[in-house]
Amino acid sequence: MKKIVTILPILALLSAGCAIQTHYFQNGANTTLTPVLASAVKIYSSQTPTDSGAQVLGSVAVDVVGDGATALQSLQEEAGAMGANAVYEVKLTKINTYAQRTGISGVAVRNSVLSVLPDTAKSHFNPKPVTARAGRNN
Amino acid sequence: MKRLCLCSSIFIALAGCASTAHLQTDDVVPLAGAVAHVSPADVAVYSTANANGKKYQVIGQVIASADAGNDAATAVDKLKEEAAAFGADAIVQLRLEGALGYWNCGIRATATAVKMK
Repeated sequence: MKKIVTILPILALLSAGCAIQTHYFQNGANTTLTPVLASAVKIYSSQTPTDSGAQVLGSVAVDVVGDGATALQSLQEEAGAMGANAVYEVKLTKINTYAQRTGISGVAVRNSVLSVLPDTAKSHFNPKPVTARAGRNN
Repeated sequence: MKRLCLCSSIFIALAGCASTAHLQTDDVVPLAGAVAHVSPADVAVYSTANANGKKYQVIGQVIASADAGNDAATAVDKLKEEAAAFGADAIVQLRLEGALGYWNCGIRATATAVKMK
C-alpha cells in the first residue's frame, strides 16, 4: 500500500509534466528551409493565405507546463525550426492535470513576400497578429 | 522477479497505446460502387483545406491519439491507416494537439478524410 501511494503520484506527475513540441510536414513541403528566429515568427488566428507567396509547410503543435506566453514561445521555436515565419489558424488547448498545461496548434507557413515588408505594410495583407500574451491562461 | 516481469509487460503494452476513430459525414453522396482503397503509406497529408489547390470530395473526419512523445509521425501514421481503411486517399486540415498518454506524452491528430478527384 505504501509503495502504491508513493508510485501513483510520481506516475501522475510524469504524465502531467511532459512537454510536447512537434510538427508534421505536409506533402510536397520544402523541408530544407533555413530556420527562422523564434522572435520573428508571427502568429495569426485567421485562415492560412492561399496566395503563391505563402508556402504551407505543415502542422505544428506544442503543449507545455505553463501559461499562454510559455506555449507561444515554444510554438515560435518549433515553427522557426521548421523554417516557418508564420503560424496561421492557431488554436489554444488546455488539459486539466496536476500541472497547468497550455497548448497551441496551427499551420506553419513560410511567407516570402510579407517577411521582407515593414510591419506597417504587412497590415494591408494580413490581419493583426494575435496577442496571446495578453490572455489569462491559468 | 515475477512481479518485475509483469510490471514490464504492462508497461510495454501501455506504452504503445494508440486509438483511432472515424466519422462519415453527410457532405457528399457516398461514392457509388466499390471504393478502391489505397495503402496507408500513399495517403497524402495536407495541413490546410486548400490542399495545394487540389480538388477533392469530403468523406468524413478521422482522429488518432497515440503515446508518441514528440514524434508526430507516430500519430499521423495511425491517422493515415484509419483514413485509408475509410476509403480516403488524402487527409486535409491536419491538426496536431497535445494529449495525455498512459506513460508518455500523447499526441492527438485530427483531419478531414477526402478522396481526390
